[in-house]
Amino acid sequence: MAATDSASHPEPGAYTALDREPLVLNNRSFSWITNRICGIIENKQPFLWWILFIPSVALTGLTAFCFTYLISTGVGVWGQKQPVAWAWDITNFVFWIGIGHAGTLISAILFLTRQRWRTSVNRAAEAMTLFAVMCAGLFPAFHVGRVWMVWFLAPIPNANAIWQNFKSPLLWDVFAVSTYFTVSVIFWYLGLVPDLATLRDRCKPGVKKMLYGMFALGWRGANRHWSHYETAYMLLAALSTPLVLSVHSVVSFDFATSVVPGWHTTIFPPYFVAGAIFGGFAMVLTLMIPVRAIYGLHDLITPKHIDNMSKIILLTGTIVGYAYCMEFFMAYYSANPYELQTFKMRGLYGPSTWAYYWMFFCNVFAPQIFWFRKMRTNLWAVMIVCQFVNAGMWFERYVIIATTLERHLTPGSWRVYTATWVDKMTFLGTFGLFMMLFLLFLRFLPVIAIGEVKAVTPEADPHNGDSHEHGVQENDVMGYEEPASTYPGGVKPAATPA
Amino acid sequence: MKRIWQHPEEPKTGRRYWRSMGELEQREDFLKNLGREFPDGDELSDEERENSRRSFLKIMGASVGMMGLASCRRPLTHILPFTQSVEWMVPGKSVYYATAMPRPNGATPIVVTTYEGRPTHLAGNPLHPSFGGGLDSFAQASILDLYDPDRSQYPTKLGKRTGWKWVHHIFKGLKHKLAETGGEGIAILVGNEPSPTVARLRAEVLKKFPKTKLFRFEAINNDVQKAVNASLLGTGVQPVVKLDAAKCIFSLDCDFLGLEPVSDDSVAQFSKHRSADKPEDADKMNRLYVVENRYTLTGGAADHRKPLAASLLPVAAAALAAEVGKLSGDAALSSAAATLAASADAALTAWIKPAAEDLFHQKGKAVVLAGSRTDAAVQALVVGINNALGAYGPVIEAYQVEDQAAGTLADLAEAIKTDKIKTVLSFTAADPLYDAPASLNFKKLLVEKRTVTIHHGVRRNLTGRNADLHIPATHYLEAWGDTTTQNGVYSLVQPMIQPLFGGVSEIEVLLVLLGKKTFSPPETDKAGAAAAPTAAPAEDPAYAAVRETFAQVAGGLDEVKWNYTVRDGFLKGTGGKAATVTVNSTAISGLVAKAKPAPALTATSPEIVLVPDNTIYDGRFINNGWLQEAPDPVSKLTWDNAALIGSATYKALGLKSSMNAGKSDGIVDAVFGSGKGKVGDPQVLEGLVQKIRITIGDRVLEIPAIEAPGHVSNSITISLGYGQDRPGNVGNHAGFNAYLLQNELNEFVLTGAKIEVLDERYQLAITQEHNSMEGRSVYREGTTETLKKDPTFAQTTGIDSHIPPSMSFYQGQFGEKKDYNDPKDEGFDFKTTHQWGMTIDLGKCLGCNACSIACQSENNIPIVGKDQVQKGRLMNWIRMDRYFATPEKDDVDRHPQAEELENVEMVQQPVACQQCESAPCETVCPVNATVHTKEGLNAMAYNRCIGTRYCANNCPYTARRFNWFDYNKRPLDELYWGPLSTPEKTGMREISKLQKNPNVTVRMRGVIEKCTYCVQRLEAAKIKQKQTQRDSKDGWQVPANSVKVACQQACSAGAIEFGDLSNKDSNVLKLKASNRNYEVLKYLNTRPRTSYLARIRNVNPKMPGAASIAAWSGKNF
Repeated sequence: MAATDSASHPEPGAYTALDREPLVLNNRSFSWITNRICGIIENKQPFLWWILFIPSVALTGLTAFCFTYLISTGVGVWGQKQPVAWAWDITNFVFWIGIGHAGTLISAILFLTRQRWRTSVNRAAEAMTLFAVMCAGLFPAFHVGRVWMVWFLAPIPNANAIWQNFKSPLLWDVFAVSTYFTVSVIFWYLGLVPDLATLRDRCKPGVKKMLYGMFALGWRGANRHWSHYETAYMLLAALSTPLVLSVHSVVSFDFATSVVPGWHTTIFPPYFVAGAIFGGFAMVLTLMIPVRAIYGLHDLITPKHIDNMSKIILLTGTIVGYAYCMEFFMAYYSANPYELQTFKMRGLYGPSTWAYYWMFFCNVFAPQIFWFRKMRTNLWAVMIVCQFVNAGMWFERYVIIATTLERHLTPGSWRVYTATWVDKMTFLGTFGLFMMLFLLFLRFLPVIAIGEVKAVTPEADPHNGDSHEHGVQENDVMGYEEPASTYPGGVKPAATPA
Repeated sequence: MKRIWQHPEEPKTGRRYWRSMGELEQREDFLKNLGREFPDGDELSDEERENSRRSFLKIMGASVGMMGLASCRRPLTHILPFTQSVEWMVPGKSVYYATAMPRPNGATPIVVTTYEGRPTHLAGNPLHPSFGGGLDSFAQASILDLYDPDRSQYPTKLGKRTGWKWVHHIFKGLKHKLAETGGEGIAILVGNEPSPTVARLRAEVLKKFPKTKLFRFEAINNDVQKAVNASLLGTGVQPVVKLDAAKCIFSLDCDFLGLEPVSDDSVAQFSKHRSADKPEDADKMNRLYVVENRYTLTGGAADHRKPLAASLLPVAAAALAAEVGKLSGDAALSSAAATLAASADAALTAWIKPAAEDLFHQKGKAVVLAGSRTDAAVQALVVGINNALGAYGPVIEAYQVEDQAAGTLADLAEAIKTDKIKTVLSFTAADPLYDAPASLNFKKLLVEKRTVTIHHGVRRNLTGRNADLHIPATHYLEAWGDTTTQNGVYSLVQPMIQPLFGGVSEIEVLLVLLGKKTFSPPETDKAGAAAAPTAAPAEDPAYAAVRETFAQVAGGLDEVKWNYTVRDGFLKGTGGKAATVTVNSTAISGLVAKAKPAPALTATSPEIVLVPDNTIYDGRFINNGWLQEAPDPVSKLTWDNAALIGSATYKALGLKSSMNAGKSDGIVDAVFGSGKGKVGDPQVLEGLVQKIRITIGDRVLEIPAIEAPGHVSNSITISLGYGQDRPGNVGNHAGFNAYLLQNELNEFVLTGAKIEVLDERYQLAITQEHNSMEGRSVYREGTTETLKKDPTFAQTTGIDSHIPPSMSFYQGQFGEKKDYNDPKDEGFDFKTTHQWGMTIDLGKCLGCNACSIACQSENNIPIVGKDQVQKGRLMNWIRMDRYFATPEKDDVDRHPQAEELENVEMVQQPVACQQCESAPCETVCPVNATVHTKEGLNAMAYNRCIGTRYCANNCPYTARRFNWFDYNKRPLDELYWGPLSTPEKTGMREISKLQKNPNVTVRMRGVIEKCTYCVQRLEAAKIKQKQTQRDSKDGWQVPANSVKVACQQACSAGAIEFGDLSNKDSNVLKLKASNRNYEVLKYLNTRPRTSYLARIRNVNPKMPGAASIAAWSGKNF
């Protein structure tokens, strides 16, 4: 698009090479943005929504059934054994927790580092975080043998007067995950307040208006409101930032602080965090690309967003690849034969080498095509790579957990793990739960932060129009007519005043 | 409702008072009215009775009740507390009684632990002169048979339930017939279990009814050996080997450390000289040579082992005899062996020669043992060799035993065929309809000849179910009896509990035949759990009969002596009559000449070797859950038997190996599935193995085949006892019946077999998937040479030689407290507290499972079923890791070749919780459910455990077990049914509850469990100590070596030592100071309280391949 020779005489609507790509395309107006985002909620959902929603509910039921079966019968319905006492349960936990990383990373760290492109994706990513953490939380809660005693994990007074064991990483996990979840919910909700007010204002009086109104906490958009809001948002962002790093570090401590060769590694915390961001962004893209297409959000979620996120995937994927190689090197360099054998069996001679190669291919090789801009902007390519990454990250956790335990310290106890139908169905069901929650989110809450995204439009810039180089005249924009097909349901919404 | 109190029977001694003449005379009308509320006559008129409120309610109640399930009400019984407590009985406190278990090989003395009259645990009798106090797994587990719900509970008539009335009726007829004909046409079939009283009563029966015939049958026996001994040593001479007197032992397929004890406590005697801590001790060690076709426990313990086809044993025996004959100048022996010895191949001769020289060098201290099932030629040659080695006397003691002359089962079959026998009264523990050899066609014969069979047994086995009358027998813990050990010590069998399901002992049946007892009263039949007559001991004819025998043995009925015998379990000073042995060496050559020529063996036509099973013996323990689930010590197979085939033959037959399964060839496998470089089959790894069909003549057996390292080529070993028809809930569908292949009586090596590999696969439950140590030095061994060169080799193997010091800021609680005044010093208090510790001597441990079963019995460990074992969820707190090793360096990237695997070495390592001082499991438990005690125990709080299983992951020894299901509550076939499991089957059976140790929690599902060092025993010992010491401050310490944990107590070899590390007199402390003492995975700094003593093998450097023995251990890291 950019042409160097047109720098001094730009065509209207064209950008020079030195210009930043606009974050909202086609110079959309405030009202267009409001209408478009609120329209998703206010209009009938497309048929596809129902096609996705109904099976999701069914799958949620499947998970509920599987957990009921597990609790009523015993953990033995899963495939665990000696010495593989953890397998799919904790794999799934770490997998979902990892996915839950991108949300807060986008909303907090990118906010603090003034990455303004985050505004289009942060809301959905944060929602995704919450739902992923919910899915994740199910596994450690229900994987225990006596779930009705799980309250022993909470430091509440009890008749036995026994405290928790604060040396246990599993307890740190409980605190880390619950703190992360709580802060994420608050952060997400705070960001929602101005948008909820917008929805409230656009509603006809009724239950809906009352509910939106209640959750909007009386937001009027006053200067004082905005001022307080922004301070609070900033503080929460600052609070969330260490949490992004801590949660997965703590999760990695479950393994790193143990004595099991293949687990006992200092590289785990950074490696886990990088992996989590990696997997999280893949999931954000997996969700946002279809949402963008279905609800016609092409101007808000632009190729630049996708390009940026692809770059992050490439970076973190490469970090993860480096970690894989470094693990091998350390196994060799440590001169600890137990460690070396563990890695030999992971990659070369063990029973589950297939998982290792899948992991390596999906996480390290697949994202390498993102070196090419063409691939980063090709949505099909991005979607395919993201699916590899999603799968690869699950395999990574499987490799770390199950295949390591399969080859524990005493060879006499070595056994190979096989999953049962309950393992598989429980995991599959959590995708249903995740999808169901996300679809409900799309249905009832603004998928893009309206208030924030407006701030990155040219309109919001006080100097908007000062520079001729920005070129596009208000009139041109106003005159542009969106094709009806880009609206949800193919019907242009009735204009409502902002 | 009126309660019917169940008063204990009034003692019949002392002064009696009576209310009426009726009571005095126990008249019927008095007894009838005894329980009634109103006396006769004080009743309503007929009209009143019909129209009363009571009858109205009765009718209404009945109509309502009939709609419901009123008739299903459980019978109510009320237990009354003792008004006067039984002497010594304190609830929750154990009382010990001595008794003995009668067994085909002679008695095993036992001490029974009982709680409130319930026997719960068996241990060896340490007072017994010829036993060390250990107890093998069969005897350990026999207590479970007592509580087996599938045990015979009532008399049956052709398999259908009947009452004692019928038994009474039949026996009346039988006695009449006996009296009339003098026993014409009546046979008594007995087993091998020795009992002086039974023998005496049997003799009386035979004397009273002289035409009665006696036959003897046990499927696994030493009849051949007995016959050879009778002809060479003299009739009734029973040799008993003093293994502790032997410096050099050569076994020709004699599993004397396993299933064929050659003395009362072979293991204890053998283990006495099995360890050397210092180089100078090495010369005191005994040396064991073993020739066998498959690995046995004895083979595993051997210093030199030669895999050899079983049909070549006569050749090996001859080669040895020729060599020994030459050295000792025994020309008769040499010439007898010469022809056979000539056929020995060079490798065998080269192996035999230095061994023979060694034996001869130790003349007078050397012994050769022949397996009890080997053929007469081997037996005869061995007698000759032992004679030449001067073993008779110094090493082999001989006793004169009076064996009642009895026919064999073949004789019985012949007699039935010729109509000489019409009625068979069977007492044998064998099951002739199931385990009789094919040629006798026993089942068909009994049907054709309409033979009347009366079966007496604890199990309702096939013979019992098909018998015209089956009488339930008492378990040996339920009845009076007596028995003798191999060396003839008279031992008493005393009841621990009233017969649980009724039942009568063999003694009682014989007494009935002699008219000294009757089967009555029959009224109790109606009650369901019909009780056979039981009476106070003083009146019990069986008791009287035993006392009579005792009087004969002891030379008069001395009450004091009797009481001592009841207390000790055996009569001091008794023993077999020593016999002087003169070997009739001229007869040897005759017996040798009869040896079958060695057949040519190939992979498709190998020899089939039938052996007793390591866990269920001849099949009698098939319904015993503990034994069924105890892994075979060598194959690690549970719940089934299989054809064991050596690696080379396995490969030649085209069967897929499991040895390297799970060792993938990396990327080839990962990408292309089963790559070409792949040796193993993952399905085999899961226990899904191919079946083979064995055809010998018209006898066919289809059986799954597993690869057995250390097994000789062209030979297949199958254990007997499996594949029984409906033996009970545990044994149903377990294994394959190899008796089907046996044609002749005592034929255990079959030739002329044809092997076909079938496509069909069968699911086996094997407890150990991985057989190689992969170069990890969890097990350490060396030879006497290693010990001389490097006495501390065990502590400096691999990584242990250069473990860096611990650099942790957090010191934690380990080691001895250094500064007792410093509150920050968290070390263990060795001054005022017990500090428990354990050592396991790998040089003594054979891998026999006795510890494992003892632990199961002591600690209420449930069985989990075949499916769960296959899934890797065995609950044993102490498991036996069995590894194979080749002399080459072992690593994950090396696949041993099939040929290498034939000469592989086998080691056994018991692993339980190591009670680490710095326990990795403790730090990771989020709820503090597993914590350390001040005494150094890694304690488990079951009710605090929520089951995160993190501890199980972080335990380097994989010692923790998880209750994946409610194993104690759910029926094993309904584990997966969740809340839908059958309500009447759910919950622990009442009868199974009786066996539980009340001082150990019965764990629910969802909690982790593990070895606790028998903390209940430790606490009991401490309480006892406190009681004896009262206020004294010094006497806190339990006396050294006085408390024993269950596994230690069970170990006949004395491999496990346990005790207080803070007590300087503790044996365990001395062993911990040994050169051989090492900690497994020491580099992790877990500081385990359980340590191991490396095995030392007493290698003869002149033997071929001596240099490579135990060489693998030095190459490990």
